[in-house]
Amino acid sequence: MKERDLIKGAKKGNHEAFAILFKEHYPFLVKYLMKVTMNRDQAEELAQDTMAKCVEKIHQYNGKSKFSSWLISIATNRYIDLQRKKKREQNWQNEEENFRKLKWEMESRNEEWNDVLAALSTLSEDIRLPIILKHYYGYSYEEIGQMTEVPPGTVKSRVHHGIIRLRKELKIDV
Amino acid sequence: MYDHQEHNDELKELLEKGFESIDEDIDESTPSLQWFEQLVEEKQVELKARFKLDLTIFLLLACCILTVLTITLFQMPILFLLLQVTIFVGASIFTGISYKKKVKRI
Repeated sequence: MKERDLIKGAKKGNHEAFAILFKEHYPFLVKYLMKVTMNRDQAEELAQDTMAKCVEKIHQYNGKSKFSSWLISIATNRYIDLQRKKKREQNWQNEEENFRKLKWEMESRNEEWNDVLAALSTLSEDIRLPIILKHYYGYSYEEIGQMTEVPPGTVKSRVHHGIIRLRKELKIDV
Repeated sequence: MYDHQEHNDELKELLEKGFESIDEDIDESTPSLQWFEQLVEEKQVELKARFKLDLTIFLLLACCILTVLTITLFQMPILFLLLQVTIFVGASIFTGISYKKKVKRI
């Protein structure tokens, strides 16, 4: 069944169509959330939350963007909401903990905690998020602005400053 | 311009390499179709229940407001007018505050 038919079915409330759509997009969604949160548990929890929100809001999907982009928008908003709820100080400590946990998980699987992940972990979430969306997923500043509810100009400046810091951390010529 | 594009490609390549190890593990751990179906069904049941509750609250509130307004209109017209003015002023203040908050957030 094509994605368009599945979305049609999902809009009619067909839970099988929903399930097939979600199963197809789940790895993409969790991979994105892993990069943003740097925490597997949180990424999976947010993915479930995103899918639940998608069931609720499916009638608002107009097909103008890809379904995966729409899912990323919802996931980004859920992540930002979650971050807002937590206190700033506590949040920073949690991020530190997340990185340490991910590093430990990867090392225990004999995988390398590479320089890029280490450099990204030094950036705050409001800078890391647009860099990943822009330079890994290839979204435009306008699209990222819509996803994160931040003006495109601000997104551009955050990406710009974030890249300078990233290059410094990775010791690449600016 | 060319330099800028080259830098971007270089960064994309670096990010791809950096994320490789994170991505590998996730492909293998996608839950079964039944798990997704259950998730959707649970959410649909929850949404239906929430809709029923919201509708019941809405109808009850509407009935209460209509009853109060009808009684005041026929029994105490002055109180009816007072209520209308109070509601109008209250709604205006609430809208104003919400708008200011929204502008501040942007």
